[in-house]
Amino acid sequence: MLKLGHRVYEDERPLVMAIVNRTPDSFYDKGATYAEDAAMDRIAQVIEEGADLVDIGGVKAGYGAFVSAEEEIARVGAFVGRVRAAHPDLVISVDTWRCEVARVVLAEGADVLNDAWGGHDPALVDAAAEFDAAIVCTHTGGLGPRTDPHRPAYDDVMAAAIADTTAYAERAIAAGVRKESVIIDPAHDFGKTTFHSLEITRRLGEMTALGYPVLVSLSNKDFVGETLGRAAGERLAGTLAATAVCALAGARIYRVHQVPETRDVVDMVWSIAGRRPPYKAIRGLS
Amino acid sequence: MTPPVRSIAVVPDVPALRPEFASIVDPVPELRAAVAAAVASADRVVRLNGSARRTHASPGPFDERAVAFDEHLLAALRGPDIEALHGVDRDLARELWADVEALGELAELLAGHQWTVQVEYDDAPYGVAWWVITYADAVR
Repeated sequence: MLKLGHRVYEDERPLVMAIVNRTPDSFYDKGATYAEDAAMDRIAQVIEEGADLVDIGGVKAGYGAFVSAEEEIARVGAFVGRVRAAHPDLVISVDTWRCEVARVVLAEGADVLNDAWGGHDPALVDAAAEFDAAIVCTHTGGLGPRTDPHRPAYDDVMAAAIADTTAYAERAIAAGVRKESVIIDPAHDFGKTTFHSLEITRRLGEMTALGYPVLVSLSNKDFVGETLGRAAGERLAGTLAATAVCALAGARIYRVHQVPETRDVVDMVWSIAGRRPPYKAIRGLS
Repeated sequence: MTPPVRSIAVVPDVPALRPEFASIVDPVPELRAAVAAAVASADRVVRLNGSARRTHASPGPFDERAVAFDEHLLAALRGPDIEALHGVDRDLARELWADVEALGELAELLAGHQWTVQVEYDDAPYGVAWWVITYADAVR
């Protein structure tokens, strides 16, 4: 069972999490949904396209202008409340590492805290527990928020990702977060070289075997771009290839920019793996 | 002693009806419902179907004789016309990809009784003639 805030999933179907950035400077959309109404339109669109949940972010992951907690709250706090009012059944995730932001968005109706920075704020788990929310426990190799890796080195990157994410998960559970609300994420690109991200993709089955639902955030990332020699707007095919590999390994949640393409790839792989029936099969069966 | 057969269901042996070939969206919902209802109340189930070469969208290559063959076969089933059932051209049926191997068994079951016949389903949505027909002993 998976519980994401108010929503319980009894089955094992994969979930598509659509990225909605309330930032002026994110690497892929470059501020396209910074304006509140544009972000609302994006949410309506991704729901229509088949997204299961949205991930709202108020701070660009990479380097950029400093964004205070107050500014982050101004970007995402009341906005989450507006989304909740407009879409009462929607599962809302918020991408933040800050406890003070988390408390505001949870009070506004968020279901999931997506902590891309690996538990940098140790009190984040307490906020998740207090509001009976889900939490995404990522691996960054100790990297602080909004910093790029410089010569990261691991004896075994997947072993490190498993050790750190499961330790974070256990800390969350100890703080009172339900086990069925704890998700782990190897965090492609975060604290990793492209070689590391390729390896955790290749070995993702070791992480899904742990029993925690695994989230993968692959969408248009640098490891795709560096692998194929593609700029940010040219990485869809590479992203979908990595998505397919992760789906075959059993990743449960896919954080993406392009919802319909991801939905098709994940559903196709899920069916190849024998976990999902075809949509409507009659060929050779009439 | 084998109890007498007082009700018979003729249904097509369509693989899409089997659980192992289930889809998220059932490609044959009307047929499935008709088969389920017919089989539930039948003492005996006979599986057969008409041609799979009726149209250019059929599984088999189009054969202009297929529709006429199916109409003739359906008329015999609807009768029921025992003599016509025995007389169905098995070689032509094979050429037209019609599954009529059970016709002999059906003719034997139907012979010598009065039947109330209901054609519950008569369609070819994927280019194969499918019928669901129920026979109830009229003197029951």
